[in-house]
Formats: sequence, structure tokens, C-alpha cells
Amino acid sequence: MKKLVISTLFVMQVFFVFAQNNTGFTGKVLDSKTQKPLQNVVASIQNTNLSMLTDVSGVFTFKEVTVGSQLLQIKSAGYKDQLLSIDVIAGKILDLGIIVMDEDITSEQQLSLITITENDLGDDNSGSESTSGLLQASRDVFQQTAAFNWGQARFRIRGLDNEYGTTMINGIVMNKIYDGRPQFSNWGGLNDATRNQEFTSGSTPSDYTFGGILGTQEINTRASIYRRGSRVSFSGTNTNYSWRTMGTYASGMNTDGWAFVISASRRWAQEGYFEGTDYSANSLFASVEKKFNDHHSIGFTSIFAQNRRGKSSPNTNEVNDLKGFKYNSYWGWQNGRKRNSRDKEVEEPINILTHYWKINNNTNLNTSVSYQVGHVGNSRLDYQLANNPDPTYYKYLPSYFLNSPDSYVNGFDDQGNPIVTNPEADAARTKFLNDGQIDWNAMYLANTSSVNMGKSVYALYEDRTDDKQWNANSIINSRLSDKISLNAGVNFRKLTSHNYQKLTDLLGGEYFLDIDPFYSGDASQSDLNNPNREVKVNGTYGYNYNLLATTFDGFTQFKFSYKKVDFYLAESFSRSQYQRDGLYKNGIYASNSYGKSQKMIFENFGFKGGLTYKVNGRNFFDFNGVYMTKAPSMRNVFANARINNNTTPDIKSESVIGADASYIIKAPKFKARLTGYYSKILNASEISFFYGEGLFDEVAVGSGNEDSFISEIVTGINKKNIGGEFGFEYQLTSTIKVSGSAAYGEYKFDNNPNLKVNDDAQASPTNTNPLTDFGKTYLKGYRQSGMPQQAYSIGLEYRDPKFWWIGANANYLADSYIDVSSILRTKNFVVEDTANDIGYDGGTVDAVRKALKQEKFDPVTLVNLVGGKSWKVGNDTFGFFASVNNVFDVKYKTGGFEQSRKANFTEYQADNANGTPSFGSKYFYGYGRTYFVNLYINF
Amino acid sequence: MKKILKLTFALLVVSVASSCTGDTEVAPYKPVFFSQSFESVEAGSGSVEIPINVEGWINYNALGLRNWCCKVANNNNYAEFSSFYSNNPSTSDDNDQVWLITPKIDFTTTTNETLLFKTQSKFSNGAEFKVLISTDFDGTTAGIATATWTALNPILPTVDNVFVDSGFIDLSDQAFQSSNVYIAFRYTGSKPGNKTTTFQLDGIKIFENK
Repeated sequence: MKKLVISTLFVMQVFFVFAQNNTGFTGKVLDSKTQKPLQNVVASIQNTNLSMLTDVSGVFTFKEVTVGSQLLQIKSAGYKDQLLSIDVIAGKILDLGIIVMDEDITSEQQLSLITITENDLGDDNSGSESTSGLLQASRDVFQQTAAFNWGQARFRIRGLDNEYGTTMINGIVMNKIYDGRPQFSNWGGLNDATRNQEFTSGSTPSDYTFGGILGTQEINTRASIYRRGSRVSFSGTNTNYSWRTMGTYASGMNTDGWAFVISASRRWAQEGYFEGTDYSANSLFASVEKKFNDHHSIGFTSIFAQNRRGKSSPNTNEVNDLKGFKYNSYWGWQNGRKRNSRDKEVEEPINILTHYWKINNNTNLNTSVSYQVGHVGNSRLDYQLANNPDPTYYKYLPSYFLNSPDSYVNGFDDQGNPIVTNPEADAARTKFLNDGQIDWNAMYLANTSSVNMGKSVYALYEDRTDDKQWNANSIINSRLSDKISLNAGVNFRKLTSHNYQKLTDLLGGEYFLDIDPFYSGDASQSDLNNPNREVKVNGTYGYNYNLLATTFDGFTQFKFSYKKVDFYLAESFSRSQYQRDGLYKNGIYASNSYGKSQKMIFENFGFKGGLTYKVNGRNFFDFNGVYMTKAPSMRNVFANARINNNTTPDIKSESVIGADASYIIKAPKFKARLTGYYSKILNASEISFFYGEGLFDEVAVGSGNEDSFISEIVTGINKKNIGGEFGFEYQLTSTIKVSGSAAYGEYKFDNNPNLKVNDDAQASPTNTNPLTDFGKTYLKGYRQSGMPQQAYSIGLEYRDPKFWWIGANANYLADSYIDVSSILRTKNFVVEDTANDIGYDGGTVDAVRKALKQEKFDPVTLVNLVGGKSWKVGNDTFGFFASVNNVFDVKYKTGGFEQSRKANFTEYQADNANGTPSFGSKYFYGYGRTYFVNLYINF
Repeated sequence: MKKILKLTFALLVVSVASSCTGDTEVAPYKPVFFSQSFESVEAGSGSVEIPINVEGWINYNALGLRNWCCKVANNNNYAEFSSFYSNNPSTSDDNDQVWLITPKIDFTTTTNETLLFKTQSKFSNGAEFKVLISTDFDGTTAGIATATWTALNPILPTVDNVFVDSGFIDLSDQAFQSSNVYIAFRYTGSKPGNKTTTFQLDGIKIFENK
């Protein structure tokens, strides 16, 4: 019966399409606040190719519309989408009257969001990455919840790292070749200027790139698309900065075909949420466009964002219990000011020139060339044959003495009963509680001591990366027919990345000696071409090399749109070439550190496709699938890049498989999406550096060499992420909206990859690649770390017709796990007698399992409040936005990692015997209660 | 039709999300569930003899007075006995049958139980070293004589002055699958009989051979 009705409808529709020319509707779009007509608003009829822009008077008119029930969508950047249900009557043009557009409050929320993402993304540790930055532009309820409500707890969509997404500005890919991740600080603070964004999720098609399995974000800075006007805002918060001021002006297109936009902002804090985290960021933006004729326009965008901030330390439970979770070991007092020893500075301005070519009504070709030059610097303390300046160095903490049997003393208490005390532990505790910060003065004293004769034993340096990168790309979008459209693009990148250690402060001394005092003779020299150099401020030392990369990629994509089904197919090809060029001849690797390494070339391809089945205008099924291979990021290709040209053993391209299926409802009052997904990443690699004890066989390396500073190379890692996402939004009344979201995922390691260790101490002229094979690391079944794998949210929003609104949401986040140490999961950890594979005393399966059990963090419930109001005064709008996150000030761990130092069972047990390990896991904490207040004027 | 589709989809999502369970593995190794290396036992050196006195262990001479002692060489502790010093005219205490017996060990929760230890001989002249196992021993010195002891077959030194691995001694026999397992290291020698070989014992481990 139903089928009959549907087919009858088809027949009738066809009939009416041909029969009626004056069937449709018209309407006029106004801004709810200013009551002014809105031009260039997109009006489109859902599930058809019909769409148009409103004219100067805000009017749109559709003719030749199919009779029957239709859904009209009206949308414009900065306003809330409107979805209207319309009954189209044959032979009539319905007048819908005036349609008022409300300002989109999420654009205000974006302003507060950036305070979370930048902080997280700026950290060196990948465990603290968040995908929130990518998601701001999304209109999907679930994704907005993920960004605004869950981002503070480091939620990641589908458990994926940012390197599986693609972030672009005008089609230029902003993901770094070095680690595959976008450096969000490159345009931080320019929220107004980067608001025109298009977002795709998962592997759904983007018009600009093939993309990955996380999604794509395209920021469009074409000057003519900005709505004319000015905006000034001022904000206060207690997150990573305290104050922010921002101003933006957009000219709109003038009669001579010129349009321009400028924007500037400053953010600063003497101390952010965590102790000793200062913040200073200045950002400038300019975009100009000249329209020559209907076919050609040229645009130029320049972004200069400068960001300097003090980092905060991850801490062990011992340290946090003594000093509180806001404690940061990186700072110390100097002349009455808190000076942070670990600052991160990012300054990488980018200039983009774009040619917009409208070849005809159906085809556009946009070509961009960009040049980005600048630096990223991470400061640290260096010291030679002097005490470790880190106040949390393990020998300074009570646990060191508690773990040392010799420190216990037998005595008597007041009543004369025998007791055991540990006065050294008590003294360490008192000292750490009273002081526990970096002692700058002591370092100045040591450096100026006559014993050292001008030689600094302490110095401050930066790990510098000075990049120069050219990008060129061309993207064509063409409608080949009513049903078929084509996207294609090519992209070329050339990078010279200069990496070196830069001395920034001699801390009172006159020079720093460029040697590694842990080695002797030639091996102690960082550059045999210039041995025993005395380094001055701004001098280069330690390591010095260029990474050279040239990448090329291209994609084609066909999209087909039919009455019941839309589908697409896309393919991509890429070629990446990496090379290291050593500028120092390192004493440990005299023969393979200076000059160019071999060229590493990776060629990759990808295919994807998907379809949307339109059950009717309100119900959809959506399916997507992708298989692609992906070059390893450059940082994983050179295993020991700082001091030699060796490439990572067994390094291969990754394979990425993704599939998802969704059911979507889009009704005027109710919107919902339910998605199930599966993704698999094969052959991933990870390189980490640390000091390990009990690593090597005493017989093989000689007594006393069992412990060493090593790099750990894990290759062939497979990861599997599966789960479901659900989000809905229901308009309860015209003023009250309910929304809810749920995410359930299981993100695990899916195999037991290979682990090798590079130990510089074992290098020799005949062994220039001193690797030890540790065999498999038994990671299978362990959870991936750094994000909650379950998240639930429920929210309520009241929007008063008098231009104020308030919202509240409650969120429950669970199943967040610690980053497990790979080396502790190798045979090395459990086997004492390597000839017979026999375990350690006491190393029963239960004891080993207990030691290796992955820590799961406590679930957390976060309640957030948001609200705002705006006023119209003359032609200007004043607005106010405020949010309070984590209202109940819940303290919670967002992530952490196991330390790898105690690399065998016996050493591990000894360190954990009394409950205060010297090398316990280190943790990151989320913000407690924070607020964000923003005042703005649009004029 | 639509309902069926919706339901199928919901089921799909749930099944995908719940299909992935299972525990983590531990690197393959042979876990030790009983061991004694004498490292934390007080050791004498030279002619100083400190009898081994470890909680749960029995150190008993059925014929004479001297017992297994702990000695140290090259920072390594081990158990040692020799009848050479059993030279006590007042008691004619010249014959030795010295038992060093482990505490009670439970074999019911383990599989493929295997014993491994090291021995070294010095001044070999015919004293006997045997390794025995019992499941009916009552844990008392009086019970040693009445318990059933089965001799094991380790590799023992054939030349002096080298520590020799016993080889894997398989104890998985059904007869030993008891919660009352004792292992005895027994020295038999005689000063007047001139059987005074020095035996040194170290690195006793019982592990699951998997």
C-alpha cells in the first residue's frame, strides 16, 4: 500500500513539474534584532538542487517547485539555521511573509571554547590533544556537545588524534608535515576572522580535500564573504589567560570591486589557572580581495599570530598530594616574579594569495599559493655536572628516602616505645612543602662562582624549530550535470625545517661549554667539526639539523544526487619525500650524523565512497567507507633525528580503514542522529625518549651499563576504534530547547607491536645504529589513552524573545585511561633468566598482571551554565555572554602516563613496595570551576 | 519497513559497540612461584658457619649436629655443606645426613611445575647429594623418617668448582599435584668414611613451564 502511494506521488510530481511554472513560495529575511533585511542568506529546499540567495531587500522567491510538503532551510553564517515545513499548492506562489533570523549563540560559545583547545593543543604530550578545535564549525548537536561541553575533559571524536583530520585555510592544508597535527596557535585569537568555516565529519566528502577519517575543517578568509561591519569585544576568564580584547572590521565589497577585513586581538595573563603559567598572545589578520570581473578575483590573506605561554608540569600523586593539583614544578621566584623555565613560543606568520576563477556558472577553479615562515621554541633548563634544578627530581622527594632501607632509623617515641622513623624523608617533605620551586638564584650563584671561572653550569635554552614552507594548490569544483558534480585538487608542499638547540640565557655566566659530559673523548662532542665550543647567548649547540620534505597530493571526487539517493566516490594519491641534513658531526655518530641522510619516499593512495538514502524529506540513512594509506609523519621516520641520520627500522606507511552508518532525522522541531562507526589504523609508529633502568643484559653491555637514556621505537602498532554516537535536539516550546548526546566507544590497541631500543651509549664506529630488539610489546587489549571513551550530556536552553538566553547542561564522562608504557609490556619486564625465559622471584602471573593493570580514571560529572543578552542601541548591538564551566568545581584527572624508568618487575616492585613510588605515573588535571565573560559591540 | 530498518540499525550499533571485549596478555614467560637464592640469609665466610635459619624451612641433621650453612662468595650467597668439618671427638659426631627442606608448597593452583637449581661441588670424594620430593611429609623433623620421599633426577656436577644447572626437573606428574609438597636437598657424608665432598646449592626456583 505504502509503495503504491509513493509511486503515485512520483508520477504526480513529475506531472506537476512539467505542468506548473508558477508553483512555489516567497519570503523576506530580516535580522531579529536590527529588523534590517539580510542579503546573501542561503535559502534551499531540502533534497532538491533548488537553492538561492536573498537579494538586497532580503527577498527570495522559488518558482517551479514540486507540489506537496517541502522543507525549506534558511541559513547564514552567524545565525541559527531555520527549517520550515511548507505545503506547496499547485499554481500558487505562497507568501511566507517575514522570516526573522536569530543570532547564533554558538558563535559566542566558540569564543570561550578557544581557551580550552589552545591550551591542550599546545602541550608537547600527545596525551593531551583535543579535537575541539576542529569541531567548532559543526552544526551537528553531537559535535557541538563534544566541542563545547566535553572538550574541557579532552573528549576526542571517535578517539582519534588530530592527525586524522585535515584543517585548511583557503584550501591550504595547515597540518604540519612534522607530526601531522595542525598548529592551532597559528591563528589563535582570531575567532571573528576565522569564523567562516565548513566542516565535514568522519570520511564524508569535502569539496577541498580527500581528508582523513576524523573530518575536515576549511576556514575561508575570502574578504568579500564577510558581512560588512565592525565588532569589538572584551573578555575576562580564569582559564589559561585572564583577559582578551579583539577588534574586527569588514568592509564588504565596494563598487570598485575591493573588499577587505582586518582583525586584531590580544590575550594575556600574569598567571593562568595553573601556577606560574603566564600567557601573552598577539594576533593580527588582514584579508583583501579585488574583484576584476565576474570571472576573476584575487585575494590576499596575511595572518600573524604570536603566542608565548608558560607550560605546567604533569605531576605524580606524591607531588600533587603534597602541593595540590595546581602545582607546577616549572617555575621559580626571581626578583619577586614567577619565572617559568618551560615557555612555549609560537610565531609562524602565513601569507596566502588566492586566485578565484569562476570559469562559468557551473565551474570554479581556486588556486592558492602560500608561504609560512617562523619558529616554535620550547624552553628548558640545561645543566652540566651540577645538581638537577627540577624541584621534583626524584632524589629530592620524600619517596626517595622512603624507598631507601638505609634511611630508616630505629628510635623511641615519647612513651619510650620503640618506633622506626625516617628523618631524611621528613626533611625532604618539609623542604619540598616550604619551597618546591625552581631556585633561579642558586643557579645564578653557581654560574658566577669563582670555581667555574665564567662557565655556566646552568643555562636556559630553547628547542627550536624554524620552518619555511611553500604551499601551492588548485581546487576545481564543477557541476557536470544536474545530478553530477566533480571536485578535484592538487596540492604541493615544500618544507625546510631547521631544528636546533638555541642558548637563550647564561644565567649570570659568560659561556656554556658545548659538550655532553656523560661521555668522554670524541663522543662528548656535539660537533666534531667545531669541538669544545664556548656557546654565548643566541648560539646554537647540542644538535643542529634540517629536515627537508616535499609532498605532493591530489584527489578527485564525484558526487551524484538523485531523488532518493545521493552518493559519492573519491580517490587520492600522495607522495611524501623526507630527508635529514645534519649540520653537526656528532661525536657518538661521527660517520652518520653530518650531511644528508638517504631520502625516504612514501607513496600512498586512498579510496572512499558513501551514500545517503532519503527515506523521505525527514529521515535519512547515511553510509560511508574509506580505505587509505598514509605516510608516517616525519618525526617518526628519523628515529634519533637530533644526533644521527638513521631512519626508523621497519618504518612503513599506515593503513587506515573507516566505516560508519547513520540514521538521521531532520524535522522542524526534532533533529537527531544515531551513528555507529568502526575505524582501524594499521602500522602506526611511536618514538619516545626516556631514562630506563634494568634494560640490558649485564653480560651483553657490561656491568653498570644496564641503565641508560634511550629512545624507544615501537612500530607496527594496530589500533581499533569502534563505537556509537547519538545526538538529538528537541524544540519543546518556541523558547525552550532540550538537547542530549551520548558517545560510547572502545578504543584499543589491536595487536602486539614490535619494540626496539636505541642506546647511544652502545654506539661505536662499527655499530652506528645501536638497536636492541626487545621483541613484541604486549599491548593488545589495552585501551588507548587521553580521552574519555564514554560521554553523556543533557542540556536545556531557554531563549527569551527579548534577546536574552540561558542554558545549562550536565555531562558525565567515563572510561578514561592512562597511557601505558610499552617497554614495561615486553618480555624484558617479566623475564630474569633470559636463557630459560624464567621470571623474577615473586613475579607470579597475578603479581605481574597487577603491576601492569592499566589505570582507569574516575568518571566525572561536569555541570556548565551559559547565558547571554544583547541590546540594540541605534544601529549598534551590544552583547554580553557568560559561561561557568564545571560549576561544582570538581577536581579530575584528564590524562596521564606511566613512567618507564623501572623497566623490570623486581625494580618496579621495589619502587612500589611502600606505596610512594619514585617513578609513579604522572597526571594532567582538568580545570576546576572556570568562568568566561565576554562583552561585545557590533556596529 | 521503516521500523525494521531502524531496529536493524540500532542492533547493529549495539552489537558493534559491544563485540570488542577480551583481556590483555602478558609477555610469555615462566612464572616462578617458589624461589630461594639465600641472598637475604645471613652468611658466614671462611670457617665461620652460620646455619641457615629461614622461616618455614627445615634444616636438620639426622645423624650429626652440623647443618646446612649460608656462605658468600663474589657477593653471591649460597647454601653449603661438607662433612670435612664434622670432627667432634666428644660426640663421635662424624656421620651426616643433613636435610634442607622447603616450606610446604601448593601445586594445586599451578600447572607444569618445574624445578631448577644450581649446584657446585668441591673436593669431591664420594659424599652424596640428593633431591627428594614428598607429598605426605608432616612438616616436622620427627616426620622426616616416616614420610615417603621420591628421588628426583637433576643434573649434578661431574667436575668440581663450577656451578651447574640442574636442568628443568619436571614435577607435573599427577602424583605431585598436592597442596602438601615438600622438596628436600639432602647431603649424606662421613668424616671417618672420608666422604666429605663440599656441595653448594643456589638459585632454587620452582616455576610453571609454559
